[in-house]
Amino acid sequence: MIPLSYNFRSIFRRRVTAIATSLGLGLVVFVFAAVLMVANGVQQTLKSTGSPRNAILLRKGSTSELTSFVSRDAAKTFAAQESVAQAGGKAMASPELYVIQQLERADKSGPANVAFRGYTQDGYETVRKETIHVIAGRLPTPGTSELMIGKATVGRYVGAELGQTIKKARRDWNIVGVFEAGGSSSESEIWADVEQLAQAMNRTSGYSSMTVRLRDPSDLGQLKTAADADPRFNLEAKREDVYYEENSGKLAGFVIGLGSVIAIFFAFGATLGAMITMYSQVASRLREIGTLRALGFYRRTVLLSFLIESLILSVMGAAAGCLFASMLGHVSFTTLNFGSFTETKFQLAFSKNVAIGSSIFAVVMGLAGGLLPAIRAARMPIVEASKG
Amino acid sequence: MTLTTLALRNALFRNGTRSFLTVLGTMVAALAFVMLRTILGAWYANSEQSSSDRIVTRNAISLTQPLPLSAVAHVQQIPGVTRVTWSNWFGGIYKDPKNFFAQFAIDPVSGLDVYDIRFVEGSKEEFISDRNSCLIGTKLAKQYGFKIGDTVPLQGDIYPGDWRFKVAGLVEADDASVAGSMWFHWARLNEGLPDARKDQIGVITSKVAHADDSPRVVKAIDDYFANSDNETHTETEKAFRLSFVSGSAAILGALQAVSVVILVIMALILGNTLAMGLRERTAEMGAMRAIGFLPKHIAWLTLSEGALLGFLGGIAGIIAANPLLNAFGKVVEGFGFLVGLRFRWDTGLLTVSATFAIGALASAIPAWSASKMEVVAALRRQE
Repeated sequence: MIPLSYNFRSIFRRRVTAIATSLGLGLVVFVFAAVLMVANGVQQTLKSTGSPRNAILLRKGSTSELTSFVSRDAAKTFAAQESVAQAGGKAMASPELYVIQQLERADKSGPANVAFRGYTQDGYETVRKETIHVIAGRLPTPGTSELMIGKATVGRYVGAELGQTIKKARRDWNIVGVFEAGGSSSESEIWADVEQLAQAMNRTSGYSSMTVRLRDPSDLGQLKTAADADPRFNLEAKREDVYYEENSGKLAGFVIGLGSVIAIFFAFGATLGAMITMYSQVASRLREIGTLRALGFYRRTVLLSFLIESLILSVMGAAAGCLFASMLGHVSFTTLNFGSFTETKFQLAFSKNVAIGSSIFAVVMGLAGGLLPAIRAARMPIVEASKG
Repeated sequence: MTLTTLALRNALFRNGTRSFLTVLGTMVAALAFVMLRTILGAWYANSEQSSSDRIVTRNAISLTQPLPLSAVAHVQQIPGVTRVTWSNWFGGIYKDPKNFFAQFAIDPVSGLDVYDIRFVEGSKEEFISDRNSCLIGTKLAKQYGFKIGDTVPLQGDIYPGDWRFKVAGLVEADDASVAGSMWFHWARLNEGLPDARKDQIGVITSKVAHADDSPRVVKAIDDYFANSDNETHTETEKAFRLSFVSGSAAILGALQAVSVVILVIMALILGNTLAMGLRERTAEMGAMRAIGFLPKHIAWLTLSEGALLGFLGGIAGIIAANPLLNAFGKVVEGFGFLVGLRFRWDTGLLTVSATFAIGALASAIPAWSASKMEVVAALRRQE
C-alpha cells in the first residue's frame, strides 16, 4: 500500500483546491443534514404531543380536531367506559374544544392562525397535568375568561404576554399563566376554560375531541370496538401519539420530498466537483504515478490510493457539514402545520443518526467522484506516465 | 484570433473532460436554482393573480369561524360596493385524501359574476338551473378526467356526509386558481346541513367600483360590523391570499437560503476549474506577457473563460429544466398544492444571467492572480 502520508501531503500541496472541493461537499452535507433535522423535528414535536397511554376520540373520518365533533352525551358515555382509567373516583377523561383564532403577529407580518384549546378542570387534573406545566403565573380560574398560553406563543403575537389581555370574540381574555409541555406542539397553543371558549365561539353544542387515559395501553382495542359499536355518536378512537404522528405526515412528507430533490441535485453537483478536482490531481501528477508504478506498486494500489485521497476530501467535507449542521441543533422555526391549519413551533434536533446518515452520503459522493479519475490513474501505461 | 476566441478555445477544447464536467456541474446547479425559484414563484403566484377590485370579508375571530348569511345584505349596502357574493370552503375528500383540490360552495348567479368565471364547455344556464350540479376547473378536469354529465362524489370533512354533484360545466378564469377548483351550489350545501349549521357562510367577496377606493370600503365594512356579534376582518383579495403564504414563511425563507447556497456551490465548482486550468497554463501566460500582452488582457481572457463556462452551464440547465419542471409540477399537483407549476422564461433568464455573472465572479480571483504574475517567474514555472 502507498503510505497515507503521500495522500495527505498531496492534498496539502493543493490546499486551496482541496478546501474548495471539501467545502462544496460540506455544503451539500449541511443541506442534507438540515433537511433530515427539519423532518425529524416536525415528527418529534408532534409525536411527543401525544402519549401512548392516552386515546383520543374523534368524529369518524375527521382528519383533524378542527373538523371533529364529540357531543356532550358522547363525552359522558365514553368517559364511563371500562377501558378508561379512574383516579380518585373520577374518570380520567379530558373533553376539549379546539378552535382557531386569528392573532396579529408581533413582528407585524400579519395575522396568524393560533390554536385555542378549551379544557375542563377535571380533564386537566386527570389527564393533562402530567404534561402541561405552568412555568410563570398560575392556572386560570375555572369559569372565567382567563388564559394560559404556551411558551412558544409568548411574544410572538400581539398581547401574548403574561398579565396582558387579548381582545377576541367580544371578550377580554386575561393571560394569567404561561405553560411548557416538553417542547411538544401544545406549547404553540393557548388554553382556556372550555365553557367560556364555547360561548364566545358559538360552539356550545359539544366538544371537538376527548382524550382519555387508558386503564392499560392494551385496552385501546376495547375502546375502539366500543366506539365502532355505537352508531349514535359516530366516533373513532386512536392512540393519541399515533394521531399526532399522522398529523405530522403532510408537513414532514413535504419537507422530506422537497428536501430530497434538493439534496439529490446538490449531491450530483458536489460529485462532479470532486471529480473535476481528482481528474486534475491525476493529470498534474502523471510523473509521480509513473514513478510509483515503476517502483513496483500495482495498478490496484494506485487506484486505491487515489480513492483514499478523494475519501479524505469527502470526510473533511462531512466533518465541516456536520459541524455547521450541529449549530442548527438549537434552532426552532414556526410554520403553518398543514395538518392542523395552525402555526406551530418546531425544534430542530441534531442526532447521531443525522451525523451518520450525512457522513455516509458524503463518502458515497466522494467515492463516486473519485472512482473515474482513480481508474484513469491506474490504467496509465508506465512509460507514458513517466514522460509526464 | 481575438482574445475572446482564445478564451473560447481554452474553455472548451483545452481539457475536454474538465470542461464537460464543469458545464455539467453548473448545469445541475442551474437546474436546481431554476426549480427552487419556480417553486417560490408558484407559491406567490396565486396571490399575484388576484383581482385588485375584489375584497374579502371573513369573521374576525378566524377564517374557520363562519359569518351569518344575513351579513351579505349588510355588505351590499356599503357605498362603493358594486356586487357581492359569498362562498364556503368545503374541504371534502374525492375518493382518497391524496386527491386534494379546492371545492367551494357558491351562490351561482352572483358568484360566476364576481369571480369572472368563463365557460369552456357546458353552459351557465344549465349550472344555475340544476342545484345538484357543479363546475369543474379545466385543469382539474384534465387531471381527473371529469367530463360533462359525470357525477363527482365527495366525502365531507368540515361538512360530514356523502355528497354527489353532477358536472354541468368546465370553467376557467384569468385567475389560474379557478382552473384547479370545483364549484357547486351553496343552497345545495345549506339544505344538507343540520339546523344548527344552516345559513352560515365562510367568506364574503365584494367587487368595488374603483380599486383605489378599496381601503375606504375595507374600513367601512369592518366599521359597520364592529361591536356586533360578528365582527369582521376585511382585506383585499391579494392580502387574503398572501395570508395563507405567510404561514409558511419559515419554509419559504429556507428555500430562499438554499437557492443562495446553490449559487455558492456553483461558484466553488467554476472557480476551482478555472484555478486548475490557469495553474496548468502558467508558463503560457508568461509567454503571452513576454510577447507584449498586458495584465488586463490576461485578466480579460480568464474572466471571459469563466463567464463562458457559466453561461453554457446555465443554458444547458434551463434546457433540461423545461421538461423536468413540467413533470415535477404534475407530481406536486398530485399532492394538492402549488397548482400551475411550470417553466417560466423570466426565471430561465434570471438563471442564465446568474450563472454568467457567477462564472465571471468565480474567475475574478484566478484572473487577478494571473494578471499580477511576474513574467519571468511564470515562464520559469514548471507544472
